[in-house]
Amino acid sequence: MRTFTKYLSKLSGILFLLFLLGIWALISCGPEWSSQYLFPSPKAIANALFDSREELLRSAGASLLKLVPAYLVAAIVGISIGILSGSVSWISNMLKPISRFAAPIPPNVYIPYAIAILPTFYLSSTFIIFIAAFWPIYLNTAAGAADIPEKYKRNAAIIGIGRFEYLWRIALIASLPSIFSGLSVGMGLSFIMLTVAELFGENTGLGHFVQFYADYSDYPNMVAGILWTGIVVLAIMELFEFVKRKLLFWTKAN
Amino acid sequence: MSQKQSGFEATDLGFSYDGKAILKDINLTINQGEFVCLLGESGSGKTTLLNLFAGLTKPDEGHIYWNGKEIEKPSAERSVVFQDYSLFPWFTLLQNVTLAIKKTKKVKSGDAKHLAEEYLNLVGLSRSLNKYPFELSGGMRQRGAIARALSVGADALLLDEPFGALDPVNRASLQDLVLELCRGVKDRPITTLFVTHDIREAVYLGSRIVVLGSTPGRIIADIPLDFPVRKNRSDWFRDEKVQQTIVAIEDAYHKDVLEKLGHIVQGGASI
Repeated sequence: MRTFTKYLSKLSGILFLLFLLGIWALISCGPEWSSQYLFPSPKAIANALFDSREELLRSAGASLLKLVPAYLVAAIVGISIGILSGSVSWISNMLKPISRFAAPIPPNVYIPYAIAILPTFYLSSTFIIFIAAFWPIYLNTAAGAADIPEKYKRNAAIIGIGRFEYLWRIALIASLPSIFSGLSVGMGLSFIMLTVAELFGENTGLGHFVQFYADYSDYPNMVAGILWTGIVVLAIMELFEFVKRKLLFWTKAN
Repeated sequence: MSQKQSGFEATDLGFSYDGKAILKDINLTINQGEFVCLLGESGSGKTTLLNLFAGLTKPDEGHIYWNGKEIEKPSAERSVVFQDYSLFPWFTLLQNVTLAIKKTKKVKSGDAKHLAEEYLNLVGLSRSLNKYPFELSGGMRQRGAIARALSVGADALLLDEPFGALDPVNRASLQDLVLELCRGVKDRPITTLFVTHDIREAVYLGSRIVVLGSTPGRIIADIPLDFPVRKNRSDWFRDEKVQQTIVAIEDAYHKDVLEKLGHIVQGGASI
């Protein structure tokens, strides 16, 4: 009996998903004029997923082509400036007012201006994603670098690690736990901004796929687009977690 | 002032933090090869004094010299072992020691690694070279820290309550290791400043004990020790002279009345 409960507990996540799927299936069996139209059956969605597979893959590719470069640039710039700002007091003082003011501005309010000043939709989208990812990455990195345990600093000084070497050999690695918090928040925000940008102005990508079929009231394809977006995001987050676990192995016992 | 002599010399040292005097009028000379144990209760400024000797902090008043030169910054000549483990957690033991050697000696990577292996063997860690600090016990980490401190060719070793967090068995074996490495080597005398609040530890290790009184930290006793050779730990601690000294320091230490030490410790004890 005890083993049965244990298994049940382990499988509860999957069972709950199946339960929700069951409810969805039940709703989609309702009167034709309402339920079947707005809540396509799981089979219809599965068919849409299969039939639109090429378009879905293309959309995911187009989205990643915006997300990955913008996010990587945000990560490189945010981490570099963050390490400097957390380690060198005059840089921190210089950047404090601007970051206090600009970081809380929701990135979506830049969209109209980005479209106005940048030549292509692609550049506007990547710019918005960059802004969304940059601030959390920068702020977390700076906080981490400013809060490096005194013991690492003393150790670095004792074995003669110089100022510049300290930045990349000690500050960068010691700040990795905070850097990853920033990267994770930045990742979430950049997904949101990516799809927001695609829903409005873009003609490619996952957001556009969903908006396109919604405009034609093709709900099986629209729901398939939402599910596929979920799968893509999940895959990227899993990859992110994998890299994080690999790089933060040393925090296990600290 | 004899700044040309080898070893440490601190003159009229003072240090304040937030307007509060931590150390005051410290005059302390540690000759080359001496093993000085710095005893004092928590907050007496022991660690601050060690950081001043290490060059990690600068004094507000007075001067400190190492081999006749004023100490201005940390140096590989004066290596430090901290209580909270002096290893970087993201490097293996071997990488930690190799990095220290590479930074302090102008040697090739391969030679640095080889030298690091030798020092880690010396402290009994030959089987754990590629382990990360989180995979090791507290005692093993401190062995690694000692290996690192010695591997850079230090002439002085500054240890800040290095065994404070260890269990008694590990503590004893590391005390013997430090004794062997610092006091046992005739051709390379290592000047040692060992901060502790454990009287037995200080008496066992030191060739001299300096006691700090608190608020502000100042030297209230300076006791040279001259004990029999340490062959067997438990026999050594049963020695009457050793026991008398421990009891006397305990009494004096706790009551903060150290005058009586002069009557009990034989062999040129002075206060």
